[in-house]
Amino acid sequence: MTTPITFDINDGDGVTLVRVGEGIFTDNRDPLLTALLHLADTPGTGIVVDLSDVPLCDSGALNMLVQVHQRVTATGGSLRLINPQPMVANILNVTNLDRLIPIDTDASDDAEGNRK
Amino acid sequence: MSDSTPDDLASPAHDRRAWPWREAIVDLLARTRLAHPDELAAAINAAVAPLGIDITVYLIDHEQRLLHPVPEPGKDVGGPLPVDATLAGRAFMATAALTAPAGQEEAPLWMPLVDGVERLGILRIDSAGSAVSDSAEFESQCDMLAALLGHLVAIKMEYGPHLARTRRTRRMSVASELLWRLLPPLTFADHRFTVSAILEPCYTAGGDGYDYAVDDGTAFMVICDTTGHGLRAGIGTAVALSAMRTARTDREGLYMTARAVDAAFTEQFTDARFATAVLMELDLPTGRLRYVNAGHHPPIILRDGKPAGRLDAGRRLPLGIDDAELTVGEVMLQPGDRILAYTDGVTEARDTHGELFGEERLLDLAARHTLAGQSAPETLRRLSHAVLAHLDGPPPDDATLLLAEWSTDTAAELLP
Repeated sequence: MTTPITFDINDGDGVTLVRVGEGIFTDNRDPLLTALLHLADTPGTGIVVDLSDVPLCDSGALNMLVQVHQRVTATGGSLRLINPQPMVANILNVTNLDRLIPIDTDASDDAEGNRK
Repeated sequence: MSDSTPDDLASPAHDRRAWPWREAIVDLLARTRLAHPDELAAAINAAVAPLGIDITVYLIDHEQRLLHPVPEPGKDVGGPLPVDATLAGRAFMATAALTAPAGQEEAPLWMPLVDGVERLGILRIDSAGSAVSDSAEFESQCDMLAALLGHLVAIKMEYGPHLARTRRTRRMSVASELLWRLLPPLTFADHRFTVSAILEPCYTAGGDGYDYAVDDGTAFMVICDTTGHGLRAGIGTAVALSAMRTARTDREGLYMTARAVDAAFTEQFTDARFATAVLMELDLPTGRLRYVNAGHHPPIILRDGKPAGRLDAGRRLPLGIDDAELTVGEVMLQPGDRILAYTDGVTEARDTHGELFGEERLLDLAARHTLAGQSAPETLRRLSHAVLAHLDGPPPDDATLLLAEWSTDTAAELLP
């Protein structure tokens, strides 16, 4: 069975950082999706998803990111991904979703003091 | 006719109206025109009985492991025959008529049952004591009869579950039922091109799909994978394939065909569903391959079995995500080149230790089967079984393979 998803949400200055604790898959993503869509509903929100601790993901995770991207851009906000691990970065690259959703591979300064 | 010599039968001068093979075929057509699927096997034998031969129809199951006899009233047709361990199976794998070595009296002829080049199964033809079995034309006439029976079986399959049931070893999921109704036959070939595909798990498929169509000197081919699993993903794939077919029927090009899926998904789904896909268009006279890669693993060009390039240009977002990017990749194939496309369920299959099947293993096996002279459908049958054997338990994701070959030599391999 897939590990249940854990994540921390930290509100910063106009940016909300969401740090995910493990791999994101179709069968564990729903709590995270609900939380991200909720954030996206506030107009102008900048969502930053920290993927440092996400070794793997499947197409359900990609679908989640596209859903959140569509919702947040519709309300004038933005979605950005930081620190994807190699396999996740590769999936985002193969699917060309890195063209849709901005990704920072080295985003130490973006994490509002929460980054190492 | 019984006093005709083999020479008489082979001679163009003999009376064709009285030729027993012709009579059998005329009778077969009369008997099968209104026949139910479950009446076909008996109708075949009623028509060929005057030839002194008996035919048992075997259909290959969806997993392509066993040849199952089509039940026939009043006849003991026996049990299924494993492809990997029988003469019938060898005839199936090689698409070649085979009979047991000389010396075995009453050995049946195993004749491939194909619809065009689509491998449906095998015919067991028993001709012991038949007046026609010693004639020089026996095997060629059986070949002709088998070609007709292949078409008949394919046509009758649609009208009731009897033949389709024979091909199944378990109940199908709703998603699989939907997909198999939609997908074209696994294999097609013309005199300069072959395309073949395989999809697992065949009874519980989800979001994978493939398609092809030949039209106007081109072959259009698609492999696709819709996000998610089960029926939800299967419905996405059904919409994607249908949108593409509508566009192709209206003579739209690769770009507009991809856009047709964007429009259908955006209109139909509110959950950002998307499908990664590669849409390919091969110009059959010249070998020019144009393609759009919508966020899918790049298919590989195999030349003499070895990787010689990837279809990694022509990139756009996955189908279903509104993307006006207009880029089309292009590559010139050389005669004999194969294109191998796959979905991530193939390379990401994991064994008990978590080790991935991986692209390298896929390419090694593809090269081995290519160099061993296996046809496209037989290569895919073996690759797909290798993926399943690698897995620890049932497949967690769909695994689809599509193999196309631009060659004037391959069609002959696929005919009996």
